[in-house]
Amino acid sequence: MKVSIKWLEQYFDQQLDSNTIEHDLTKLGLEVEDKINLGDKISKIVAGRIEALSKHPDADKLQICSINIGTKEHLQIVTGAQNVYIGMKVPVALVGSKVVGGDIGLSKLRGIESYGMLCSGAELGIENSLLSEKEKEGILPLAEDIELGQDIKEALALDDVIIELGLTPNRADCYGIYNVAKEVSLGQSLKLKKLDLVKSIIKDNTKDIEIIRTDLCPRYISRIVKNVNIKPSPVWFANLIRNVGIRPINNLVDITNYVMFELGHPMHAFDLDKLEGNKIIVDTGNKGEKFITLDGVERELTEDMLLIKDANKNIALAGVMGGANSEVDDNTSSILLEAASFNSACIRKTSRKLGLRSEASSRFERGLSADNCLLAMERACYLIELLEAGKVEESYQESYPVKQEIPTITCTAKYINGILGMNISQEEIIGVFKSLNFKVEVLAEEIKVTPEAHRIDIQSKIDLVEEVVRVYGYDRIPSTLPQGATNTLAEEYTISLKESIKNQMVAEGLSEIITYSFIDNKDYESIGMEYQGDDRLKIINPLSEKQSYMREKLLPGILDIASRNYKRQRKNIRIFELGNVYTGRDQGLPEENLNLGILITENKIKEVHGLELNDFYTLKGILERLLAKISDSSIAYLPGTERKAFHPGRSGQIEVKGDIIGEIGELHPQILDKYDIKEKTYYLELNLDKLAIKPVTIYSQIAKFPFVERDMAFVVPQEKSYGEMIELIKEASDNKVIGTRIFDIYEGQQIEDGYKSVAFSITYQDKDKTLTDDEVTKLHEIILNTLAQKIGAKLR
Amino acid sequence: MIKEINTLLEELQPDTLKEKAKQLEDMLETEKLEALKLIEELSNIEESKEIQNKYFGKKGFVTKIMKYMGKMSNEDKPLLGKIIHDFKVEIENNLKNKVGHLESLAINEKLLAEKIDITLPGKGGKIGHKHPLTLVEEEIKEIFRRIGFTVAEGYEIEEDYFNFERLNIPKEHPAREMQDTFYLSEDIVLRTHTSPVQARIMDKMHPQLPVKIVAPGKVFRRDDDSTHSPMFHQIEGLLVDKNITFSDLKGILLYLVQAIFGKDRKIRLRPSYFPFTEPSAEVDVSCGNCNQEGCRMCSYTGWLEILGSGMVHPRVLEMAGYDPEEVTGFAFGLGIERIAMLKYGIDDIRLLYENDQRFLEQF
Repeated sequence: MKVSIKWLEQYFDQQLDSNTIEHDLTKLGLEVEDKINLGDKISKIVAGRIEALSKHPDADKLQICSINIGTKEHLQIVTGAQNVYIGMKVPVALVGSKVVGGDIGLSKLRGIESYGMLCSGAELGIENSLLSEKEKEGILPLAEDIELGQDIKEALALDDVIIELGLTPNRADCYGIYNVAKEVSLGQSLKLKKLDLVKSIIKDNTKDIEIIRTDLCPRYISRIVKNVNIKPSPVWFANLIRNVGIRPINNLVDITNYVMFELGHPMHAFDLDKLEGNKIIVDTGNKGEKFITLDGVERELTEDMLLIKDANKNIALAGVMGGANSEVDDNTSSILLEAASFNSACIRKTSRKLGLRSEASSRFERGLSADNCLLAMERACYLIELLEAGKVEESYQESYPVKQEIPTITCTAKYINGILGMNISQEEIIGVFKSLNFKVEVLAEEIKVTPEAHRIDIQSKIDLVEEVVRVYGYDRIPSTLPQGATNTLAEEYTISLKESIKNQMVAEGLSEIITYSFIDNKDYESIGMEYQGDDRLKIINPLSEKQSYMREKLLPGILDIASRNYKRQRKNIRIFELGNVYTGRDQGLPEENLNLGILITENKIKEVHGLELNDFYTLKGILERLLAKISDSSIAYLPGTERKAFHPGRSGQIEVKGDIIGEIGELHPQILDKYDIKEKTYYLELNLDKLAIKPVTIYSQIAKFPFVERDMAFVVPQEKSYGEMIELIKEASDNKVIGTRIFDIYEGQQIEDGYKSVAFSITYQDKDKTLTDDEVTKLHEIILNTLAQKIGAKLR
Repeated sequence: MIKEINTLLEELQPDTLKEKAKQLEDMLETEKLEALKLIEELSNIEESKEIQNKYFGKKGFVTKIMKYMGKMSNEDKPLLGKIIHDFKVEIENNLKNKVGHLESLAINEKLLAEKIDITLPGKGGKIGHKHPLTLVEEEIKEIFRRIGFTVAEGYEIEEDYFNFERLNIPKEHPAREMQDTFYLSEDIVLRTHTSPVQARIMDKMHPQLPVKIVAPGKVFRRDDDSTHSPMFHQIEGLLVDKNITFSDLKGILLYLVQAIFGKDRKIRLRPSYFPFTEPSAEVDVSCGNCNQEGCRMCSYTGWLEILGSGMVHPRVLEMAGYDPEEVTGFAFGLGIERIAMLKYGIDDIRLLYENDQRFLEQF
């Protein structure tokens, strides 16, 4: 919302300082997003008139102008513009002046001296969108009522400062500058002038307006203006409109825009002669109906859109835009002015559905006070007379079926101070309400407050607390620390678990990444996840296809980051992400699961201490150390995964207590290819929900008796896994094996094809006694026999 | 001198020791000085063995002269014993020290030959790095744990009801426009803020007091440019109890800001609007880049906007079953990205999601 300081100054008896206003409005809760000094890029530009024009002798496209700037001597200025004519009033940048785009000096154009320059709107810093087609043609034509020699900043109000407010939804009333002025007066204790109005009387007969949907239109006022005289607005008026970002069009349109910016209340003017049946009807439309709006676009209506109709046809989309069929044009002689109140939700829906947002709709959809309709109408009528735009009829028509209720709210100083933790006296509190123009009635402790009509945000006593403290000053609130009982809510284990996992990962040399929770459906294909029907979580209104599905796995995001780093010549990538993945459920909220993904690439960088190649076991080591830290469950690794993302011979599933909780392995080269990663890459993804149970540690006695270590080497068929062997050793050991360590695996010379030699070191111990040599030998034999029977192991 | 001493001792009669004692002592003293000199001059362990043998070997001098002890009368034995002992101990000690020293020298010489370049890099990989957003989140969680807040988490995919209605944002409320929402279905959204955790936790706690939590997490809004990311992180704070005031909120926020940015920072509260708090405040921290002189970072205002806050709206308390006449509360929410960007001087939010290792390794 743009607010012009010059506009504001109309309501006060003195000039205003924009810095003070910025400060005060900020303090009062109206956020100043920007402050623009309109004319700070231009200087020494005056209004002049072209008295004579002649062709440049040596250049076809240049003309020599003789310019009257109100002094005796006329200036000779050469211009390349084509839209100039004798008698035209123009902005003249004098020698030594500044325009947008540069400094102007005395110059010679093809031998002819030019004492300055004629300016276009852009050179004055006026936005293109604020200029009419004619004004955009070249040199900006100035209105007749601008005096020769007058400084252009003053003439076009370019010495104005514009304050851009970022309004919160509760203060939609401040879309009216007059209501902003009330805040300004509050900040500086200035007296605000009353608005000039044309008071009017209501016509007895209100049959002329028929509101069918009173739920969507609580109030409708119309007034007839005859002898309409459409012409450009006077410069001062047009300047104000332009400065708040609206292009001046003609006096009538400018007046409705002006009132909309002044009071926040949009109005509309119909060409009375184009209306039929002497009747205004407010009702919803019919589905499929077509309607052409002012901008010439044919719109398809739905049954929930509110329309203004005459006896025979639709004439406006209520609160959004008028119809082409009743548009005011150059031949208009009488108009019907509308000031009405419409349901905000209805306007928002209509404007959304049609993709049509106007200054009017954006105000109505925020909610406006119905009480303001008459004020807006009387103000517009005053301006019509002031600008001689027509003759306003004495009476107005009104239908006001649902009267706006202005609440009277009771509060006490004790209540207010209780919320604020302050000690503001009752007098001061009453003073605040009075400064806001609220009606106040005091009954001992009780303060009864009735806000101004436009403050529809004031509905309950907490709203009054806010008013008190914002006017009293947030800077006067003391800082205290809360007292109170001890917090009994325990923290969920997952929260600290996440922290300790991250600590562990960082210690392993992995860096944390954070990726978006949404991915592209194609990403699933890229990682070889087959399509599983329509049950994937899809965002209805994604920003792009790339971010349209909620991730079920971390892999796509992590691979994407790995790929990006790899392309930026990073080697030895070691990254992890800890975050939620999502799966849909038939009912209720989707499931959110906490996953950990770790990716490392093969390390090919030679280091002085020798090359430490990352491989599957590097990754597995990371996982083992993590699980040892966070879990007391035993983990099993089952070779092979169903996922196409992995190398079929170098991957497996991770199992805890019978549940598959993740996968680990070398990523499939074909997948890596899609991500342009040319090095072997290892990845694991783990669901942590099953592990999010705090392990309970109970001390077990340290064995008192010595242990015995024996080595064992045997040959087994090549396909037998270490995991199987360990299981068998445990089984056969009668609980007397307390440790096994595999220290060699060998295939090749001296070993039969299809076989491998493995060597274990086995540690025996009995918790109740010292094992004798014979007992150990016996156990050792039992283990070997078991291995021989079950997996065909042969002693080497 | 050894010869002379031997001769003297040879000739010694049991009753003549006293007369010869002085002479013997002198001679031993001379011999001792000679021996100490030799010890002093030793340059290797091998040589030391010669001295060792000469005096303390089987046929060594000391061993030999000890034999004369037998000849002595009981009266004289202690005297001769003492003379010989003094002689022996001093040479023994000196020799031991010298040998010890020579041994150290020899070992060190050997060790020096094993010298390595200690400026070479250490073994094992480099340390990893937490994401800056995690660092900030963990720091803020700790700041609040210290003063008795419980860290809680909520759902990232949330019901419209909890994300909006329970926060006093009914359907068609203009405030819904402030936060452009991603929908999964008509009533399931990606949460647009961490505030639904307020309602979730109040439901869980009701009617107990206090409700005292901070809730970090991911949030989502349909926005994507150099200052907005469609996914970002917030941390929500909520304290509901008897007699909680707006001034308590200000005190906690001051504590927070000074804990993150330093004791010299100030805060400024500006009136603002959130549907679920009233009165509401935007909170600014004094610009540390320019010490409030005005700079590009703070748009020449001296203040940096960092969070939104306010007193929990009575409607929100009511919906959770608490009586707003009995119970009050405050809530605040801050953007972790915003804090991280201010704290580390990051100028483009997208850097946080590009996860370039050269970026991550700086934290």
